[in-house]
Amino acid sequence: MRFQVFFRIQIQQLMLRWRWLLPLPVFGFLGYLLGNAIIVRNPPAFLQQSGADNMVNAWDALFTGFGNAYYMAFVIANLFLLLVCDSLPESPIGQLAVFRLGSRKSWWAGKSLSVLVAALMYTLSGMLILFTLTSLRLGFSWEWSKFGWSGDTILVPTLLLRQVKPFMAALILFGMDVLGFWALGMLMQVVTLLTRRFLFGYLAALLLLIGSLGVSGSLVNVPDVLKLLPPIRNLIMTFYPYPFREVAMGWSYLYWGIALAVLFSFGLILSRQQNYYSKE
Amino acid sequence: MTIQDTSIALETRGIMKRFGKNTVLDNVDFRLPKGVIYGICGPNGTGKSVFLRILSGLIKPDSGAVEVFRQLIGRDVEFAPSTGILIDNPGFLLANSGRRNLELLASVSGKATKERVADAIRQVGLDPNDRRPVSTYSSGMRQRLGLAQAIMEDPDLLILDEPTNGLDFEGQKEIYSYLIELRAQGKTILITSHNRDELKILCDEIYTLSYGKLVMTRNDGLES
Repeated sequence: MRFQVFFRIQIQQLMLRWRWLLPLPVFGFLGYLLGNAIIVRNPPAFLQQSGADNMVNAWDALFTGFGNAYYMAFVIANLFLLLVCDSLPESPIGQLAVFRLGSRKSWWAGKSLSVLVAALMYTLSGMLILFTLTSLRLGFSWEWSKFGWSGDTILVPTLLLRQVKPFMAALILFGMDVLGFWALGMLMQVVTLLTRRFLFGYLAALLLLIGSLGVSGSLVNVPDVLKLLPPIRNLIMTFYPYPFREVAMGWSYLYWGIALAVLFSFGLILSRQQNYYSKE
Repeated sequence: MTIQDTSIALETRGIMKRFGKNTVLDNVDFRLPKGVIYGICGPNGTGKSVFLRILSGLIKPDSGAVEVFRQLIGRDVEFAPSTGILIDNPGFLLANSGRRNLELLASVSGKATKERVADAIRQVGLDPNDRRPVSTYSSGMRQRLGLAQAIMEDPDLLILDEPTNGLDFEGQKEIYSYLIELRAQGKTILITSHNRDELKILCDEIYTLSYGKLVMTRNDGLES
């Protein structure tokens, strides 16, 4: 009960802020751009002439948006990091709460779980906004569109596209991104614990993401374990810069699982020595 | 190494704290008996708040030990037991009312009922039925609310950092009377201020923190 109340305070502090309205214009604009791009590649005249249903649909926009490495690194993941970057150092009321909670271990658990909730809400809202807005323009279907059927065109691994329906593929992507954002948020928190400056935490996570864009291009003809190393390849379904994937999706889940275990343990050690004083 | 003297509420031994090259606390030994009000004065930036945070467990000293009610901070407990704190400017959830903030904090400790929270708010001169969000409170009202959160769980020890900050003269007098009443009930209070006159009114003993050293001073301001 005590932990639940503490956790509620953490969530309230992290998420009941005006900045959480930002995903609406950002994903709305992303949806607008993607809708344009898909229509340019499938001109309306062609869509009308073909007379066939489901030439394009909102899944195309969703998978292209969440599958594009640049959108992911510079916009989607970056916005998440910005939303949660100042959850540490602990706020004054958080300090009063942790003093009453009486445990640094529980404090760190609360901090970690609050980032998970933020990652869940962010990914869900981002996908819903993008999908709903592009549904109005591109239409909705439970099936893959003809445009997306090759897989490459919408940045979905061909094998996965043959195996599952778009909704299931979206769930797989959702889980992967939630874990990824959670881990990146935790990395940011651990760096902030070390440096006491949330800006350093934010920059560390962002640089890792951007750096992984560069590293990905050079990881050719290497063992599968190495191919998986850049975090960006575990946030999107294809192996950037290629429009295909060489390792099963489950490995990305394992990747984030290991990262989270390491970061949580490291944070636990750091939290034992954590000093609580006024925010920077 | 536990304190055998049960009349002592709080004791520190050899507390050292540095921030970079700056030694904030240099081998500080301090004893606070039960049922008294002790004061620590010193200009801003001398480390009073850091010292109070170390006493409460919020900051870990580089070396030395703190015991509160015979429990060693960092070994027996992580934070000072049966203690209410008001350190620096108290922060609250600005969108919530003062009472809601305190009820949330009280739920974390599980040591104060809603009635007790309302009583504490009343005792510091605020209205528990005031539903305005804390964002609309003046600095004096926030300070009073901070004091209410420190006392709401009826702690045996109060650690108060400049509790009358932001209050007008009448408000200060109210708080002084209240603290003296608490002492009469057997509570132990450690208070800091940069205003020595304030401490003279309230305290049984006054210490000065200067260049990392804590020195007992007489009421005439001379070091003993």
